[in-house]
Amino acid sequence: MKKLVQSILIIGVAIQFTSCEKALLDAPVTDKKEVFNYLWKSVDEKYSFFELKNIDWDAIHSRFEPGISNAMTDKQFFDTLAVMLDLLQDGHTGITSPFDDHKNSGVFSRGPENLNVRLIADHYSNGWGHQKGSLRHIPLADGQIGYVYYGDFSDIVTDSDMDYILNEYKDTKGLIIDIRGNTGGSADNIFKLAKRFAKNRTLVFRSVLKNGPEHNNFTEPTETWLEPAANIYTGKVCVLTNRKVFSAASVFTLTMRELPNVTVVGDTTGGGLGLPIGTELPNGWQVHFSGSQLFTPDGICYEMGIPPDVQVDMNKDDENKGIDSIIEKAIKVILE
Amino acid sequence: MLGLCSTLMASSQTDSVPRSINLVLGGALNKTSVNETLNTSLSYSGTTPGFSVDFNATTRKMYFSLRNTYSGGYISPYKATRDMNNRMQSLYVNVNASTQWLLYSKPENKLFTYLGPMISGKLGARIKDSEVGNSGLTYNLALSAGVAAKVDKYVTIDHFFSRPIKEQNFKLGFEISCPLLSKVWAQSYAGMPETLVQENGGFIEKNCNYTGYFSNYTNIQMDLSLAYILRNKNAIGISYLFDFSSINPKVNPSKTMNQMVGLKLHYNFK
Repeated sequence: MKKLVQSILIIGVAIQFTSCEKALLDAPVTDKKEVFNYLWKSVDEKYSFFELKNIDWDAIHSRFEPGISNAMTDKQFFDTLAVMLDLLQDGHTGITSPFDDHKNSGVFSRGPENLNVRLIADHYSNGWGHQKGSLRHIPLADGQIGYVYYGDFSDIVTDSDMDYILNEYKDTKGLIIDIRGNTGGSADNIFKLAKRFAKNRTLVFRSVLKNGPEHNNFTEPTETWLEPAANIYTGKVCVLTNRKVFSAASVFTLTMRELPNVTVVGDTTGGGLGLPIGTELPNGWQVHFSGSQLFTPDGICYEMGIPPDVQVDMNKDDENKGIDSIIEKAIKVILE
Repeated sequence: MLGLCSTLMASSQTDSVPRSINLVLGGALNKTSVNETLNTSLSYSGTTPGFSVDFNATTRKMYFSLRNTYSGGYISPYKATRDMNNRMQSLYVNVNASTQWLLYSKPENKLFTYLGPMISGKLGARIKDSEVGNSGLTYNLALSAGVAAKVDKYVTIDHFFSRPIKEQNFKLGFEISCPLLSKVWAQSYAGMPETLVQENGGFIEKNCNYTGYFSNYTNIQMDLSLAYILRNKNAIGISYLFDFSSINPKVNPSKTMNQMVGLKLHYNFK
């Protein structure tokens, strides 16, 4: 009996103090070639837009891999990986290390700025106008139109915010929802806003996720339907966009353009219709890139930007006169 | 459970098994070790605080146990350099219930062994302060049915170092439980659910689950405990819990190990 008790005690103590985790866990990897290949393979198997963007990822491997060696400094290695990831032309791509944080600029720079916040403050809203929650708002065109600026989808929009805005402008001919410069945030806010403008249940987009290592391995499309809210706005709506409208803001644009009373005015958005997934490299650095695709009910993926219904750029002469060409066009669309 | 045990206790008329109905409260430190392939290619490890609320009852021929163990805190990359600030929160929940029958005993040596079915629910979740929100969570959840076995040995010693002890016992316990059939929820290939961009969409993919057998969901839980039984039949004990899980869905396999050392107070209702 004594032996049994002793054995149990010995086993217990041994389990605790001989570190079992050594057999289970791996130490961080410092070999740069191994880290490079891990990153390349992760992107190869999980990035969602190779075919849409016609990117030859194997060729990119052949181009970069020979130059990777442990003789590189961490900074040189980081910069090399960042350059490689930039070739994905995707604003949802980035790499983070303890000493640097690199984000792909995507397609933001492919068009004019098309937003002058100071001009709006000086010539339209007399300062910053009114604010309810994260929504700035002012009446325009002698009160015939309500103007709402929403600059960040990370800022929560509540039902009470929307009730207030809709009540404030219930007798107007139209609403302008300005999301220029909005680079995205939470998907929940997309629906909080958009369902206030839907008269009927509407199929707004479909989505697929990567589900295998081949470039064309995706799940079956999941349909996303917009359910109308109890309290909705039935007038005309213009959504103002520019190239900096990205990610959740682009998804909002994708959603709103399916509604019959909505016109998208301004410039093509910055896209970002693949939700980002992240991974950690074996040396502890972190990367993220797109792992899904969203497309219209007709099957079009606007990853590189959603074109507006009415294309308008800010006119320099107008801007000098204190006129926002895009807002003015939206006013015309609503009043015509 | 209390009522059932009281009924069974009433029917037991032998002193061969020291009978008890215990509420056991414990505080513990948990060493969590995680090796997963989704979102983190590093191995993570760390010691987090935890607690347990257990109920157990021993009758003439049976043993009942309901155990609830929780721990949570931050874990860091295994053998990470100082500048690697990749820590993440870890949550561990382990609920385990078993009914076991007296299988073999040697009353003269106060040795009792039990065997019986068990059910368990285990959750391991890792939450990373990630800039990319939908890559900041990994989890595995398993609901299982299996077998459990237990050995109890009561030891009477008359001296503790040089100090004499009267009418008091130590109880040494060892329990092992192992699932045979499980339902396991893990993450999708991409690590995010298909409903993420829908209204009220969350990060949990309910449809991403599989039926686990020993080969694709291996879980071994062992408990070692030593309790010092006081004169009033309550007890103070120390315990060591070892819980290893190897989760092998079609994609994103992971291995986790929790080793929990705790101090427990046993309140005996009997």
